[in-house]
Amino acid sequence: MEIVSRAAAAAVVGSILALLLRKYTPELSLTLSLVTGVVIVWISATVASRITDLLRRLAENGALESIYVSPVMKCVGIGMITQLASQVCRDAQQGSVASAVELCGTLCALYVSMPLIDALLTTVEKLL
Amino acid sequence: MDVDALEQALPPEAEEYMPDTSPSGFDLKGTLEALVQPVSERLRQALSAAMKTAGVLLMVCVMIALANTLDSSGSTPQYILFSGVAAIGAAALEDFDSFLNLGVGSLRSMADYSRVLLPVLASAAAAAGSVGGAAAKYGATAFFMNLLTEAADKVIVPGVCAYAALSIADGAVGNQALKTAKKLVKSVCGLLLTVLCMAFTAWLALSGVVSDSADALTARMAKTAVSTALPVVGGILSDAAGTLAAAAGALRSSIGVYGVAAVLCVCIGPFIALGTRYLLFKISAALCGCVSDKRLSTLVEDLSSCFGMILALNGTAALMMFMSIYSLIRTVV
Repeated sequence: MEIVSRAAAAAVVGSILALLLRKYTPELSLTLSLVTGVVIVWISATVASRITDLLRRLAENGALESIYVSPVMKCVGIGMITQLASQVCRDAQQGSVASAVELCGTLCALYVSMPLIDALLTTVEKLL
Repeated sequence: MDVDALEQALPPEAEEYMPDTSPSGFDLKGTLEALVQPVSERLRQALSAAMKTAGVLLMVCVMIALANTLDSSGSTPQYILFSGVAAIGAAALEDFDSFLNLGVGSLRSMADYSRVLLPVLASAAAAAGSVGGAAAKYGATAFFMNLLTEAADKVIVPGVCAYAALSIADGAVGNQALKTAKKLVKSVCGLLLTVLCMAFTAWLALSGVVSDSADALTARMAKTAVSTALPVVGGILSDAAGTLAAAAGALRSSIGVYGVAAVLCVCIGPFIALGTRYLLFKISAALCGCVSDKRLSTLVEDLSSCFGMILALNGTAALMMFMSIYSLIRTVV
């Protein structure tokens, strides 16, 4: 509850300040938006680290196989970072940069998923 | 009538549960009681393995659901969905070929054992007076077991593999043509098994009715003829023949019970392994449907159906064997 309250408070305060600054210095407003987003992600990091610790423990105990779960976790992380960065770029009216970030995120996610795709293709080849 | 051949030809899967048993003096109750502990152990191991895989599938779906929050419209970026499909496909089908071999191996064991069991059982049934009926039922079972084995090799097993591949492709791409192809493959496999089972049941029932009536009539006519032809001895001879037939009937029953126990022991391992996977994946699909993208829950359900189809193949073979053995035991002349 405390973490969500802190994140919500930071988001509301940052948004209001960014809105006020936009009229005078749009560049500072954008920077403030970016900093607010980073602060919120940093606040959420404690929760994320507990979740990843749990998953790591489950993988060590053999309850979950990390070979399958770990690439998906990385993809989700890449997706989050990509989405945040591309939104900031769009807020700055830089659509092309946003698209480039999304393309980079897609390629990185596919790269991280390569072991899964390879394992899947091997299994499907055996079946067919 | 080589009854010892039944013991010698016992498949290794059945020998594990029925060591040093023979049809004469076979204790079904004792065998079933002895089965409880190893079957429970096997069930525990199968559940543990299936739950690990189901846990992975559920965790992947939960993470994909979390990624849904990235976009304000609630749709997951395609590359994340793609990686989820790859993870689910790789985790669910990791040992799929071993399950396929388990299912097909069990079918072949039942088919091979039926080639030893049914002639012996048919001979015992013929000695008990059901000459025509035994031959007709043995012929029907042998024909349909061969047909089922051929269908498994040429249609069902390739169909299951194709279904698995199409399900993964549909999960990754979400194409209507793939959905249609997937449904078609599943329908063909299901329909084939249903038709085989129904045709076998109908043939067995019809041939049994006709030939059992003929055998009963033949036996009564023979008894009457013998009693009439030989004034004093005839009656004693026909009574003695009846006693011999009854003894053969008792032997037929014990062979039949032994056969039922052997078939049960052969198919129980695959049933446990495939059944636990099928059920747990179905439950995972239902849970995934609550939290995640529909394509992922449909994929998990489709992969559970793959295990279900192999289970159905085994079930059909076991059902045909049980029906055949029961009809041969049941014949009363």
